[in-house]
Amino acid sequence: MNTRQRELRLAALDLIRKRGSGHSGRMLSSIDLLEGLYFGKENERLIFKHNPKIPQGEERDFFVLSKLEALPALYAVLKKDGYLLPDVLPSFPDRKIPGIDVSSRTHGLGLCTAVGMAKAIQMDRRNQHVFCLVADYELDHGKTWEAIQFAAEQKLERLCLIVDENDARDMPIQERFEAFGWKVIKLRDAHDHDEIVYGYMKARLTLRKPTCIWAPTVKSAGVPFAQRKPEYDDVVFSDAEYEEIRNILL
Amino acid sequence: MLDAKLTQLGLKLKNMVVLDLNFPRIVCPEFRKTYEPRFIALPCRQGMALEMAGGLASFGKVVVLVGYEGDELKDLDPTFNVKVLRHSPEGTWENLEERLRAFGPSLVLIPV
Repeated sequence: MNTRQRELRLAALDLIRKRGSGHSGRMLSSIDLLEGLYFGKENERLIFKHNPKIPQGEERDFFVLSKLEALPALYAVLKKDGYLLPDVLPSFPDRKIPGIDVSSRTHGLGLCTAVGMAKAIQMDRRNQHVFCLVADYELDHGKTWEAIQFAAEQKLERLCLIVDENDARDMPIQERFEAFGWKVIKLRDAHDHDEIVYGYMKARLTLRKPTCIWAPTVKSAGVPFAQRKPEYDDVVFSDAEYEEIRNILL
Repeated sequence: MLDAKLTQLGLKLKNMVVLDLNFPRIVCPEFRKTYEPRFIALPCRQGMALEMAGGLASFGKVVVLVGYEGDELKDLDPTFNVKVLRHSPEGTWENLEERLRAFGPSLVLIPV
């Protein structure tokens, strides 16, 4: 784990603690995927085109958060990156916040919207990408698969879906997505910065197909006493636990 | 009549995109033929259609849904120009262009 991953964990957990509600374990499984996206570089160039000073820049790439539990992680990443966030942050993604591209209140909405955005990019022949983080349970929704099928039919090569699979389940993600005509990139270690960045790079280079980055993550990753323990999935860490995590990470 | 009206309006509203959810046949073949890049057939895809329309609308397009049966317009971002066309006894063809140009998501009633 690099220093920034540690700092982001603490910042995101602090946000949850101050709000008094959140899903700490589920959030921690996604934070490294977001860190890799926003801070990853290839030959000193950002793999995710964005500029915190110009949040609505014309040439930027787009990120859509469909996994709502990861919102504190996204806020922590945006703040670290230099976006000017207000003191009071909404509990659902809201386009009024700099750095947030899609407002969302329900699961599965983000993915369908991301598909629409990728289609608009294709129609206008823009040189931009759409990245969308979805949770594994969102793949249980029917509308999600309607969107996945549509993306493949339309060959939306500017769309990259990141599936945060933190629950072992029988769903063969790779086979399903490939059967629908997607390119699947599986990460061996979904918490390793370099591997995550490499996955995003490969996704950007894929042509004529949308890409799915399959990220088998660990809930509460980085917090040894909570890792893989279901009782920590949807909790707010207490002050004592937070101090212990702080000592572990710093 | 709907197809002809939309095809006429397509000339004035250059950023209009039509999503046709009808099955087994689309109801806007003329629009499709005239403006193929701005037509998307989504047979029976009621689940994803509205949100996908929102994604398209976020790029400044006026998205017209034909054949959409849901009623979740209120959940859509108020800055998205998504118009759901629905046949109704109270529907009218009057001011169709103005109603499609109006800002924000809305239900546009057209004659049966």
